Amino acid sequence: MEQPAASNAADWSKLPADILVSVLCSLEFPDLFSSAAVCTSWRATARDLRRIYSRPKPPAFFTSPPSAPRSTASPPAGPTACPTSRAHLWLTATSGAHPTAGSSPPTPAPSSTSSTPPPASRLASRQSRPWSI
Amino acid sequence: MASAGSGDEKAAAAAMITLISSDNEKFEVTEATATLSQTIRHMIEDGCTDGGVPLPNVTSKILARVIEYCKKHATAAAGEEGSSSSFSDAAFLEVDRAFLEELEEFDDAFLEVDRATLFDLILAANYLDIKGLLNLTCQKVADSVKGKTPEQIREMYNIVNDLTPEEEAEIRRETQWAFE
Repeated sequence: MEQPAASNAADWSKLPADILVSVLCSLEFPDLFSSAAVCTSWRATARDLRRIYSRPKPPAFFTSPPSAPRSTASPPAGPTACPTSRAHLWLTATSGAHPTAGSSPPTPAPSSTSSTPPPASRLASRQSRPWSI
Repeated sequence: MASAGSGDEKAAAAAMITLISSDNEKFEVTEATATLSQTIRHMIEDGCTDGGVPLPNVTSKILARVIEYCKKHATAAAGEEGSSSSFSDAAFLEVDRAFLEELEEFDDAFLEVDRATLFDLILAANYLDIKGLLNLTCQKVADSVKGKTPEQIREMYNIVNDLTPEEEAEIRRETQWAFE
């Protein structure tokens, strides 16, 4: 019953999970990560949120245009260079944004890196990645 | 927000509800104010508010603030409805905007509280089920977290870091690829 002048003694790590959800769900990428590293309860909530966000995305490997990401070639960061978890992340993240296979121009030569515009899907993947842990 | 007919409205305006805080302080509020809280609205609907509504989870200090919020927002809602009949559309829009601005200013000023009070307000809004207040306070916390490091957040909110070294390592791994 007694709350000894509870000022500043409020235990924010004990914020009920449903309230924490309403707090964290208005945050975006870098802030959600920071919040996830605060304490175990915040981390659990932030992870749940990320799981919810990333769930509806379909797997990418069915629809990915074959030439798009790998022809960027400047750093030889093929999928083999990533640990499996990263490759998986990358795949799920790209799934939302990339153009359909038909729209990509027929650029068969992977060596001509000068004029080919970097595929937008790769850039997009950098931004949308965080949702798929 | 108003009830069906104008007769009902008058009756609602006249009816007073007594709220009793955890430290036994009594607050008399109009029904229109009290029913911003869904919890109390349900109690009124069930007819169990005679002799006052005990709120064992809310102290008088916090309850006073919550009532302040509800009064303001209840009158704002009533004012909006009342004004719509007596003004032309353009004038009504003006009035409407003025109301909203005033309400926003009120909300901003209302949130100028220390973190412990903010915490209690959130819990009270949750317990009393006052959507507007809960959104307002949660948004305040979210805004305060933006752009902060985990350490800064912990400091700001007095949170003890209870993550195990393994979890911290995992977080470092996660954030490494996220920020590279």
